[in-house]
Amino acid sequence: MNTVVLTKGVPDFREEQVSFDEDGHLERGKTPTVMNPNDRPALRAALQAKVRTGGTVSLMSMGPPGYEDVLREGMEDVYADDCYLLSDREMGAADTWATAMTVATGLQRLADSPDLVVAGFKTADGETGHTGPQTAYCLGWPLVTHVTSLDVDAAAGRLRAERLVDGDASEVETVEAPLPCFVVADPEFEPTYRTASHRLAHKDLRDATQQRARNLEDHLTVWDHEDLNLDPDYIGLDGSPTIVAGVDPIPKAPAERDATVVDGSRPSELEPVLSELTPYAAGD
Amino acid sequence: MTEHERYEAVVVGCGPGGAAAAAALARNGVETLVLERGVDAGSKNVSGGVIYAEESAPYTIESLFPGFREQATERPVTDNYIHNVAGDRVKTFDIGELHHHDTAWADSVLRRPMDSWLAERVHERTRETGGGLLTEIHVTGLLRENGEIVGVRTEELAPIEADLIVAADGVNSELARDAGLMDWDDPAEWFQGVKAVVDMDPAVLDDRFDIDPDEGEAHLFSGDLFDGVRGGGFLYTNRESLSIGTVFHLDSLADERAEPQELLDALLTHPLLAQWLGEEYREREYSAKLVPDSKKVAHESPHDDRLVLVGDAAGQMQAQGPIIKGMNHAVSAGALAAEAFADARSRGDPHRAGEFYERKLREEGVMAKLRPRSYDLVGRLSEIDAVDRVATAVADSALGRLGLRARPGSSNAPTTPPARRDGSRYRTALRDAPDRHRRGAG
Repeated sequence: MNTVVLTKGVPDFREEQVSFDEDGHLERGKTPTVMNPNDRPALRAALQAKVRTGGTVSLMSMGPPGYEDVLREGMEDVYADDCYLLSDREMGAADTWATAMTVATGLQRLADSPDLVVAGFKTADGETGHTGPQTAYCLGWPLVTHVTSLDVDAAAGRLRAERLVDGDASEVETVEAPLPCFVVADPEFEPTYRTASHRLAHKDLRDATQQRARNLEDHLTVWDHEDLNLDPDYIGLDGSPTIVAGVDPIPKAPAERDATVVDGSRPSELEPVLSELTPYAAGD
Repeated sequence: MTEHERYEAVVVGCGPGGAAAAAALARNGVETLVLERGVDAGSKNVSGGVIYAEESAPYTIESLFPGFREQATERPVTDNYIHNVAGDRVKTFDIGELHHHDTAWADSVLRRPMDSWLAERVHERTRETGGGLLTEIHVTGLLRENGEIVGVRTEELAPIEADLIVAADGVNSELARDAGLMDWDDPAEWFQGVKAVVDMDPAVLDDRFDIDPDEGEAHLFSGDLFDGVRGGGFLYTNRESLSIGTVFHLDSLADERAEPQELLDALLTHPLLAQWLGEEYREREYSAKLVPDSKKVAHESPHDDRLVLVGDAAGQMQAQGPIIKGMNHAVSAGALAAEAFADARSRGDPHRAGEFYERKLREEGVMAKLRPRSYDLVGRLSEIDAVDRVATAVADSALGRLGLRARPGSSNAPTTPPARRDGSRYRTALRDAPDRHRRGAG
């Protein structure tokens, strides 16, 4: 079974890392690029599939050559066998549709056609959550989104997934889909390894991967638009039906509420807290 | 009946006993799964720190893990002393002879690096059998079917079935308790060990003890350092640190209402130790451990159904006066349990392993060491006396002037100076010792 995980490098939005200019616009040059945090559940889902059913896991990303660090990080995380970077200037400034076109072409270009493609919920920069579903559309594959647990039966050519209905954590449905299939892992996705043999296989993979990630170049394939036989008019900025008209920084919400600090170790100080809260508990 | 994941053998705990069992099982081609609770094997352990290889033992850890001494231990114990403190007098004995009796070698160890080293090898070898070692797995109890023990339950994994279950899960063995094989609750059956590891630059260490880098010392402390609490102290040299600790009878601690860590502090700050610790020292870690007294609790029949108990889980910790032997017996027991399973399996009846294990413990002399018959007659009173008889007194000095304890010609001249020492090593006097400790100096 062959699994591919889609990943993207995004600005590191954590405090201390991210840098904005005076107008509140992101300074890309001063902000480090990291793996999209929402891709981690996708990596975990792919790793679980590999541990449980064997086969290979590949990573694929579209972006500038600097994404190699992101791929290395992803490789260590998912114990990937190899990485594919779709990269050239013609692909730059693509919207979600042009990206989906490019990535779907990359997936079809793979020597061993994938049985399962996993993507993260949405990227930390674009926040659309469109690229995954659009890629599935381009491939003409079934799509299962908001997946929180996954069980692949490679022999039967099916998968069974639990998913959040409309992204609602309180409503979960179980669906089955034929392979090949496109899965979007929800941030709530938790892999489970409940047997010793799975854990041992996991450990074997970890030991084997550490060396591989160090020599990423040997496992990295870079494809440009010519390798993929893509018309520049259909990818990148030229192939994007949508454009970003502008970015407005959202002002920080003012802290209007008053805060009182209470020493929790003194029971006497807790009494007023209790009397404040009591009316609410009573439903008044 | 539920289908469970199955292994031929499951070993719970990867200390020396579990590691020995796993290595010997793997050597016999038994598919062996090892489950360790710690993040890293050894992370839960607090052993004081000398592992013995007895000449009479059926197995040693080196025989099961070639390269162990070279790579996993700290220093060989080449010299042994016991310091008996009476008031402000210290009587120092060279107990090398007692130590060397039946000892092929003895090395100081730090359990964290030692157990990590073992765990790596255990995983490699058991992986070849189709099993392997998993860490961070908490085995919570036994899996039973129709009242019979058939496997283990864990917090993290679905239940696992096995033909052999080795409980090497230590002094608080949940498996032994679950099986009803451990019911020690009398404080008289326990020792309380407390230990500190003090960092020391190897060059300074070699200088202060006057030893070469490939030598090491074991010092034991007895007498009234401890306000009448029954027990003693120890100091072992590691490569770059000292292990210093105390071991007390738990009932005595309770009777005297003593705090074990205060007793350890009493030892650490005792003028006796200043010659080695110097004026300033850094404690790297501090830990406490309950230790069973094998003379009272070593289980004569440590098995039930498919379960066998190994090491501390079976009470296999021998306190021979101030000398504590636990790890070596755990190693013997673990390997014998594996042997027993291989025998039982080749007879087509793997579930008789427990019965064979019990017989091997007896026939190989392990049980006789753990529960010596003579103990019933002699009792614990003579623990120190026994040492006195075999030891050679090397110095009888005033407390605080141990610096002179081995210098020939001093007024506190040793009755028998240790042959391989010259006096120069003891130039370190106790600069910081209170004056009262200086009186009577030679």
